[in-house]
Amino acid sequence: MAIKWTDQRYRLLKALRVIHADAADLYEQSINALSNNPMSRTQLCVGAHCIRELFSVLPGMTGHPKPDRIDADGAARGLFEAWTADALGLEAASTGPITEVQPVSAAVYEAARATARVGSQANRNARTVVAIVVTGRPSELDNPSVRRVHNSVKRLPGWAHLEDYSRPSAPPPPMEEVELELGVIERALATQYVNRADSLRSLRGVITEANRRSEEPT
Amino acid sequence: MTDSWVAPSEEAVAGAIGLLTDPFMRAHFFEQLENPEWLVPLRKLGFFNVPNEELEVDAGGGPVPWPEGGYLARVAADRPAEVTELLLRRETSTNPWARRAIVDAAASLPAAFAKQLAPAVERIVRSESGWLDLPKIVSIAEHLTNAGEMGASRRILAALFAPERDAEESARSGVARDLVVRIDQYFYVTLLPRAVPLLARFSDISGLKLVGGWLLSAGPRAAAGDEAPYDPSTTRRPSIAPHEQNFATDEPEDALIDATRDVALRLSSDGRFGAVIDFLDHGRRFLLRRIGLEVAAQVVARDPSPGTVAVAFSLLMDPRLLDITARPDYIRLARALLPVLGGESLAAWVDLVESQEWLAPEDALRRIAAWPDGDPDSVTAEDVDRVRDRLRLRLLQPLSDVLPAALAEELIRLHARYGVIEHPEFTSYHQSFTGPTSPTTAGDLAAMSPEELARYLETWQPAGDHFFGPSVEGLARQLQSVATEAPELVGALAPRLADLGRSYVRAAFDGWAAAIKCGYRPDDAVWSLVEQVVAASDERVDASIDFDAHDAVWRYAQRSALELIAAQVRVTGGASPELERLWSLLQPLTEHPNPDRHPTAPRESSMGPMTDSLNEIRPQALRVAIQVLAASHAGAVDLSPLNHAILAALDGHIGVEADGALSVAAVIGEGVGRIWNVDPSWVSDREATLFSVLADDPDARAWADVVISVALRSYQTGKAFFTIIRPALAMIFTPAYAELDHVDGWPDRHTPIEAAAHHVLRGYLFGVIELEDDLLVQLFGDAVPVAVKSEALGFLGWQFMHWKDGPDPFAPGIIGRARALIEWRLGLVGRGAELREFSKFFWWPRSGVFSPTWWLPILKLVVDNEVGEHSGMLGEPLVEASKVAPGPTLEIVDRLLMSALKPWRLYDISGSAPTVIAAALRSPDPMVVASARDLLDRLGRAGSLQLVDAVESEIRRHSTPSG
Repeated sequence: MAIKWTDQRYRLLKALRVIHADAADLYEQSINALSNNPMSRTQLCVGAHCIRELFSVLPGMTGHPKPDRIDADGAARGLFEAWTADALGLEAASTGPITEVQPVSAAVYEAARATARVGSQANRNARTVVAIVVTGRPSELDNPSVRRVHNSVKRLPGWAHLEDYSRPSAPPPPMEEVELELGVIERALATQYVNRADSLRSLRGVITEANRRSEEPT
Repeated sequence: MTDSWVAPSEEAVAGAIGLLTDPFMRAHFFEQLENPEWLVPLRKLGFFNVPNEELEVDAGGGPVPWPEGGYLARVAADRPAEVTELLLRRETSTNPWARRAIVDAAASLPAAFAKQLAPAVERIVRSESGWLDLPKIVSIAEHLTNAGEMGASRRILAALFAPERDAEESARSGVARDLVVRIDQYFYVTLLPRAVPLLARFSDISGLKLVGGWLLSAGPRAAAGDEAPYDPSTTRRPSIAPHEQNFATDEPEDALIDATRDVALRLSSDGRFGAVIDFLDHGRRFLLRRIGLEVAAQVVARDPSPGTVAVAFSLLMDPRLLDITARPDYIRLARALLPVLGGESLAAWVDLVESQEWLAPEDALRRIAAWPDGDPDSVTAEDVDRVRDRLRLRLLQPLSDVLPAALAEELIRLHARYGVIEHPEFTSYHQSFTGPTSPTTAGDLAAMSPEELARYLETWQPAGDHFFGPSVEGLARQLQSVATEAPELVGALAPRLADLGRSYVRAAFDGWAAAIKCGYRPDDAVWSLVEQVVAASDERVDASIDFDAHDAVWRYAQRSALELIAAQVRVTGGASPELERLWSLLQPLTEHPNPDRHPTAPRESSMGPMTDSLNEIRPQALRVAIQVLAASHAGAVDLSPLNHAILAALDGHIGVEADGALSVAAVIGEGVGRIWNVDPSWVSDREATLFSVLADDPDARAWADVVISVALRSYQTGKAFFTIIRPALAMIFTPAYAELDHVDGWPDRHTPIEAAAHHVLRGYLFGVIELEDDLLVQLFGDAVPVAVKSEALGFLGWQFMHWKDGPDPFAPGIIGRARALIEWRLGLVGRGAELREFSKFFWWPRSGVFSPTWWLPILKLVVDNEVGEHSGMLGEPLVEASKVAPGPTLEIVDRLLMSALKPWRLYDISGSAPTVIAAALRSPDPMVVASARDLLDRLGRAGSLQLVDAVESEIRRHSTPSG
């Protein structure tokens, strides 16, 4: 199983080219990288990174302002300072997971809440970007489809780096998983950028398949 | 083998998700999805979780569509627990999509789950209208009742059928006549019978109490709490049983009476007759007691067992139920019960009837005897006895075949004294009236000798029973038929017909006029009668219509005499002594006083002066005079003495000073062309009066307005008519005309100025005038409103559409002249012409006469500038045009669709747009194909997915080999 260039992908490529040559190029490089069979880990890195970058540049290319960047580093630094000011240890306990409630100072609690809020805002901003890219409307960030596309987009950083300091190293994802998540992203992009008559034809196919019944022995 | 739904794979769900980011695509998906296996995966993704408050108002201020609800309703039967749980979250939502989903789901859920949604359904019924599928809501109640969920069923039925008080009506009338039903009356009346079997299944007789309560709450409050025999609610419905006298003047109340009666009958059939009568009869409400009588009557008729008879007998013996307002119901019970009563019971009933107990008190009887305008104090004892006798007769007569011997003898005595009463059990009885009736038929009259006929007409007199019996008018109409079919028979009566009555004279004239068309030629006696009638004075004031009497004045017979003369003129050719005689006969009527000669404004009730002229004597006489003038001049060159005489007579009616009646002016306008044919100078010499539509004097102007407006509608466009009317047309297209008030002599769908514009455009088309003609220049000048110009240009296109289907081919050059006219105006746009002149240009494409390659660019100009008023008119021509010019046609459809992406305007071309777009997609021109695809994209993004689908279907239809 491998990712291939199809009519739908060519249509999306053509539609992206209308928006900006760089957008089309990012998408083309991504599919080219992912369509190698067998696909290497570095080719997955290239493919995932190009799609990530596509989501990063499309809002600007389509005339939408990007949400303000969240200063996650500042929040983490504040928490570190409050933490160490209370002389709380940074190393994990050697006796295993902590099961008891740990009292902390108000300063640490406030710094922790600020960090969590930043995390939440960062997630919201990421969904807003996805909403802009796949619907053209930032207000659609809570749309279930946008949330699902956002989930697919969230997989990309993990695939785009051979090593990620922020999480334990993981084996490369199965090809089926890559194809599934890429498909979610591509259909959302096509819905927004490809001729709507073509998307409607795709939807009609989905509906026909969804309403299919199988015959079973009575 | 059996079908089963296929559970979607993770890939299948993921494949759909990316397509559902767009709201229109998502709506399309949920509108089409049937598979219940998709419910759980979609639910996990959060598709049904949108908060209620987010569904209330969208950016446009309306409720937010929730197509997911439709899917939930469709899979409710397969996934009842999940769907119920999801829809209960919407219980308080006011979103119509959510509410519809609740109703639809409740209709297909198993009862145990539907019961949970019943409070929501009740709330929806109580607060919604319009879109509610009321038969479906009754089905929910049926479903719940069948499953034993009576409480849930009851609350839905109450929401549907319990009447509400109408506070406004109470405040207006002071009496709470307040049967206000929550749902549409049609559905109330048609659906309430479906509730009857459900109500009958409620415990004990609670269903009867419920519907009876609804009925009472519907009644007038004035009688509340009191057993009032004259309760108004009892008189609106004469009979509780079905009867032709029940006119359903209050349909919901009638339906409630039927429902209460039918629930009571069902419960009685189930062995609860005693409890039913106990409830109906002891509630102290007269209407329910009347229903009790009818129920008892039907139950006894089916089951005359001692127990049933005993219950029913108690009603029969209640003197209050013998009140006249319950009489039809009491009679039905008595007729069922008397034949099965034992001797003792029968004797008791005879005693009741013979007692005074059920009759009204003495003072009431005195008032009845004195009615309508007598004095009760001067009524004698004998008078009161007669009233009493007649009341007993009213009771006994409808029971004649079931009365015990003693009362049967009394009935014979009463009949002998007072005769038979029609419909004695009803306080009033309504019969329909269809027109005057005759004492005999035309056939019988025609079979008489002249002597017999004269004697019959002389001696027959109406009975005077106003409107219901044979009348003079009825007989006159039969005589008219005889005069048509056997004119000589009636003609033999001519010398004395005037003495037999004006209506018979009128009838004879009308009949003879019709007979002339079939070859009859009146003899001298008939014309002598005409002469006699014409000379008769008509000074009396007209009386109101009375079919029993002859016409009060001679003018109706005189008008018929004019019809007879006109009929004779039509069959009399050339100059002949006959025409001279006819002129001498009608001449006196040309000076008839009807109508008044003084100028008056048109009456508000009038249909217009032209219509008035048909009913008034002097205008009609002048009309016939012009007919004589035209007939007598046919083929002649010089004017004859008769011509001179008639023209001189007409001269006495020209202008408001001579004869101010506008109906006379209408006749002159109608005849001006005929007069011109006889003597053009007569018309031209009087132009200043005939055509003075710019006169300062409003009366003189109105008179001329009527002449011109009738003439414009009476004559076809041609050289002669232009010669006559041109001076008037030149005045109509001036600023002065626009500033003055005008009178239309013959109102129709086009105003006089529009009618004038039609003549001018047709005059150009037929070669009577050319483009440079002053009249055309004037028509399209500043003085004429652009609406008149656009209407006239559009009307010309409309006429082409009709001429095309006519028997004659187009005259050579006419198409070219028409196109030249349009191109002339188009070339002047921005330089004196306005594009709005083309707002009705759509008639030209629609006519099917002109080439699309000619009209497409013009139509595009109209559409691009949004000046067209082509609602619903362009579909067919655009489809035809797409066959020869797909690209330009697509451009117009594109413009129309995108400027009209409002549902209420899309119907204009939505039917034809798919054909046009598909034709463009098949074009060999890649630019046209690209434009079509671009349009499809924009349509899809605007939510017109059905239109996009229709294009796909059209393409498939074309790619499928036929045969």
